[in-house]
Amino acid sequence: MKKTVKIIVAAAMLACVTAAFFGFDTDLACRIQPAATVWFLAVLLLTPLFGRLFCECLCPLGIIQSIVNWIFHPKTKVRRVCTRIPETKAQQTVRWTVLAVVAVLIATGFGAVGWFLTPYSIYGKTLTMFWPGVAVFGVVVVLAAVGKGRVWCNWVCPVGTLFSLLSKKSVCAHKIGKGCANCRACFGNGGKLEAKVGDGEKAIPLSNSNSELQLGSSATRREAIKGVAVLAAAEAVEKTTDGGFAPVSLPGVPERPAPVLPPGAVDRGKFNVKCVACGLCIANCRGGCLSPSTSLKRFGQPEMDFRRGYCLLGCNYACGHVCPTGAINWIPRLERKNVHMGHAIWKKDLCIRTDGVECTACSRKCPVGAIHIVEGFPVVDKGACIGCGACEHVCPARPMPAIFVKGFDRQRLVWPMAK
Amino acid sequence: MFCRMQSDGRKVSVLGYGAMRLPTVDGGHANSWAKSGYSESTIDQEMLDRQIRYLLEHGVNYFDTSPAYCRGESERRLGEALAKSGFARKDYIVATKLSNFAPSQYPLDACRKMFENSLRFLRTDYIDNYLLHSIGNDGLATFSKRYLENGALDWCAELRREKRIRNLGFSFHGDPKAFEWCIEHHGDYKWDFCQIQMNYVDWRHAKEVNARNLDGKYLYETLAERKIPVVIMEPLLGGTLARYNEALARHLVPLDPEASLAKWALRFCASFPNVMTILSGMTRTEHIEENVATFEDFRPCTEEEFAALERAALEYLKCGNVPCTACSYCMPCPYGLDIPSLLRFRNDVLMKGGKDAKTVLAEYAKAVPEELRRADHCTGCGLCRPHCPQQINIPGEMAMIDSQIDLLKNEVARR
Repeated sequence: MKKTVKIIVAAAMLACVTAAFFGFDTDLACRIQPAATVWFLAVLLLTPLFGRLFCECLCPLGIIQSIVNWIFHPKTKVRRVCTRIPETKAQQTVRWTVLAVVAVLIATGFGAVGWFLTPYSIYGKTLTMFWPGVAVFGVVVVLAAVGKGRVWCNWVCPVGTLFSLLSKKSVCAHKIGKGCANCRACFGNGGKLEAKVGDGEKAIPLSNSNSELQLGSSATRREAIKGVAVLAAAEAVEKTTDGGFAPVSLPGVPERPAPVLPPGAVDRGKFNVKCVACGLCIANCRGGCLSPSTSLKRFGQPEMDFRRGYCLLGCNYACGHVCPTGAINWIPRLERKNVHMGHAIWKKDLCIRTDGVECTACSRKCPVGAIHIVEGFPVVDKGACIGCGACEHVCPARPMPAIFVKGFDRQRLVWPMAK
Repeated sequence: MFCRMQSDGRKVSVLGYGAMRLPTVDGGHANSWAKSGYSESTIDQEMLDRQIRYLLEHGVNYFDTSPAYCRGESERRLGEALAKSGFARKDYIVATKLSNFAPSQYPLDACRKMFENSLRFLRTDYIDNYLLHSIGNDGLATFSKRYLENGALDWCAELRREKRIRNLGFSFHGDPKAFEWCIEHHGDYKWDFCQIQMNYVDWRHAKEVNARNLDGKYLYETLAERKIPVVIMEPLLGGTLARYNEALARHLVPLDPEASLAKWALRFCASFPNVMTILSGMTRTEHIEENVATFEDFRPCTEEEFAALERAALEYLKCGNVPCTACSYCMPCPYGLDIPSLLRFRNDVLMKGGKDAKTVLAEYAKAVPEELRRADHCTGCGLCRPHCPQQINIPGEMAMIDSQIDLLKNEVARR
């Protein structure tokens, strides 16, 4: 009975998390922002009582490892983790070192790297960034298949280590009797069943501070660049025949002085520490502009890439809404146009107007009317510009857009006057 | 096949073939987006050969092309198909044009070269009908630069004397002053024919579609008065009048439930006695078969039918469509936009209403599959404007489409 319930919960969890990545109505699956804290507290309180429940049936990696174990070692009676029996010195050293390293990384501002070893981050990256995610994910699965039990959870996962602390005195943990000789018979055929079925302390990892589900967009996958050419000066080729299509190409990514963070991320430093790079915001971005960062320090964390879209003024902060860690605040009380994420910078040398080509693309597109054409050149009203990236998105200059957004270190929230 | 006389006494089929929308290997027409991407959609020569032979066998003998059509491929492909058809040169009439739109083509030498190329591509030593191409394009000043200041018009008249061209005419879109100039000088140049846009919508309501257009009725009557035979283009408005449209069907179907909308539009034009031939850009074989059948068994419109067509036209105008015929004269847009597809999306989906935001956005993605070719990438440079025979304000329409799309996107995002 207990087992059936666990299996049902685990299956439902895995289905929800995965569905969220493939455009399932995430409102249902992961309306998490307000619930996250409750979730976290609940898991925290339940762990000392019931052991590593989170690892057992709430963590996608844990669930998948169980499935892999079940496939590769169907006869093994103890599938999850044989907890207390074989914790060796080496294992202990590895686990605690990993936890320490992760803690140091997060504390020193390399949050994205540190969080990368947590289960939801891995699972999210598998679905959003694909290759880096799949690489780690593959390791987890292979380890689970080769070894018996959840090798990753017991040797590496920092979340699991943390939970193992909490569940040391777990009331309902499956205890191993005094008489256990560590014969390991329970691992193979028809050993004695006296073993432990649920896991006491060592089982499953908890994701870091809360249960983040993440969604991924297929951002990276759909990035395959179509068509290559430079259109630069429009009049270079005189039109003598009708029909046909000029080649088009995606612009390059400009070297921003600072990346543009999603609206509500507010403070860059705090954001970098809090974001576990699960990718849920990226998958949910309505404007199609959030994409995972590839820089080492922010690996996998969301930042704006305006080649495929821009931050929509009408969006109700979808990214903040789904953020499970609170790294992106959900600020529905503030009108979207009052959150300034950055501002546009225009480069004369790159602009096709400098070559005498008629173009008003950026000012036509600006949703807040912040770009004025003065004497033929675009002038950005930095007071009005919110850094949504519409101008950068439509700028026809190649290979680099002539107008791009510089992200603020601290986003400007313009609260309406008190009544 | 229903035929009429040309000024030189030759018999001309009232159905003519326009070689602007040649079939391509992937089933579209030469100016459309190809499944393989936007790069090159190759013209399907085998299909074209078959179609041309079918047309000739069924008595269609008027073929209209231009050096500018289908990215400059049209003349060569048509020439090849005609040569392969097994019919003698005297059995068909070839019309091509002096399409000197680009300033580099204004000098007389460039015009001569263009003409020689036309002869070479069409595999012939004379052209039956030669036209000044779209004389109203970009105003009277441009007309003057293209044909008067460089002596091209006088040179054409000389070609006619030398019998290297048999008939001289002009095609008209755009600035009425150019049309009036040509009519005033009919005495000097003796136009053998004239090519105009005419269909039952434009007949009386061209100005409602676009204030600067001239009614088909005015153009036709002006020419008929001077006994200049009329060649008609866009009888179906680029297929718009052939596609199902409730506004049209409601008025026309009761009179003849079996007839297609295309048949109505073609019969309308052919009912005027001074119309020599009606050009139709028939991409697909079934279009050809249908139109040939229309003219094998032709019956002019009755008064009652004219009245119904007029009602249909009025109803059609209420749709507020832009009159894009997908001629692709605006293409290639230097910024890569797919203008004809965008305008068609505007007419057929965006402004039609009745669909929710998500569906419209999905249709948008389908209409223009490459994001970089959608309306938001219009820079407003205006290079396309002078090329549009329908005088559509393309940058304005692009901005309108984009702002509507943005509204829809925001609407979806707000949820």
